Amino acid sequence: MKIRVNGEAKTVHPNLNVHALLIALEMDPLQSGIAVAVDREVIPKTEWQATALRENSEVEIIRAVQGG
Amino acid sequence: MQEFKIADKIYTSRLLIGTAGYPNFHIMTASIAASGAEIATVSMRRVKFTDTPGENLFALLRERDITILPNTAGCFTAKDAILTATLAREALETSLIKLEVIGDEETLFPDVEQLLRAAETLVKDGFTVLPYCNDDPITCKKLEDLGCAAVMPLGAPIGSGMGIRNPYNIQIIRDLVQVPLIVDAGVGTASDAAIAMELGCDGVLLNTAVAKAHRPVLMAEAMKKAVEAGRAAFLAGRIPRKLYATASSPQAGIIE
Repeated sequence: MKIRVNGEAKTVHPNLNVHALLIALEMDPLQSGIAVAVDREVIPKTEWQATALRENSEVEIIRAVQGG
Repeated sequence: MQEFKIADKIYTSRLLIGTAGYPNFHIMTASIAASGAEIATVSMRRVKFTDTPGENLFALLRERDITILPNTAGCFTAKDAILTATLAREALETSLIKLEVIGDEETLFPDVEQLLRAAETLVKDGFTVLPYCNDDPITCKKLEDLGCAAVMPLGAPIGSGMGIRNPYNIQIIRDLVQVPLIVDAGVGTASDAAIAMELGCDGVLLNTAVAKAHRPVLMAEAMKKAVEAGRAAFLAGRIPRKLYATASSPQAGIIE
């Protein structure tokens, strides 16, 4: 299925969950300092495994950067 | 003397510092250390998958025991600011948020209507809201009434280095609000920070003045001293301004 991650189109396995998506993106799901929103709803870390993505899901993965 | 307290935590330093725009990471960390700041701001942005693994800002600040204050910079609506704040709380394990809702790209002045709306929602949602706002006493009062933990009026536009453009408004805001008053934005050099503190502000938040100085670490040190000097001068109480001279040396016994 097709989803968007940080504005980029990606094709992933159907029903992939947030945790598995991070691994597919070569990110460590246990690292501190990141957060995920799916369709503008923040998904707590504890729910990443249980949150399945759907066709056209808009995923945002964010972290802290230098700011004023 | 009155302590500087945000969300029940007491801070020794009244200088809050931004982490953006330094020549490199090393100068940034050295500047933060030289400033003595115990609170540093960060922004929340998308992870880039093309990135080579770089420095982890979150880990770096945490190691140094710096309180991380995420901002909502770049948000133009209450809705976007609320989402950014919620992501920041999840990512950085803090309920502190420097709330910015910008109304115009060129001036970066706040959108007051959206700011108040976002502040109300975030306070109700348990955030410790530190709003960047106009130097308008009524807006500041409204933000305090909504439950914000501080008010942070701009001294001048972000990154302008124009100093405290309306010291009289800052003075009125000081009289009007009980929560910590922090001048955020506009400071260009040490004397600007000192003036803010002399007016009775509880703190100063700055970034560009240090990051873009010719020698950032030295400017960070200057800002530390300016904030301390300004605070001491405020507590000491300045003499009233007078148009004409009053001799300080004794008048009696002048040689004739």
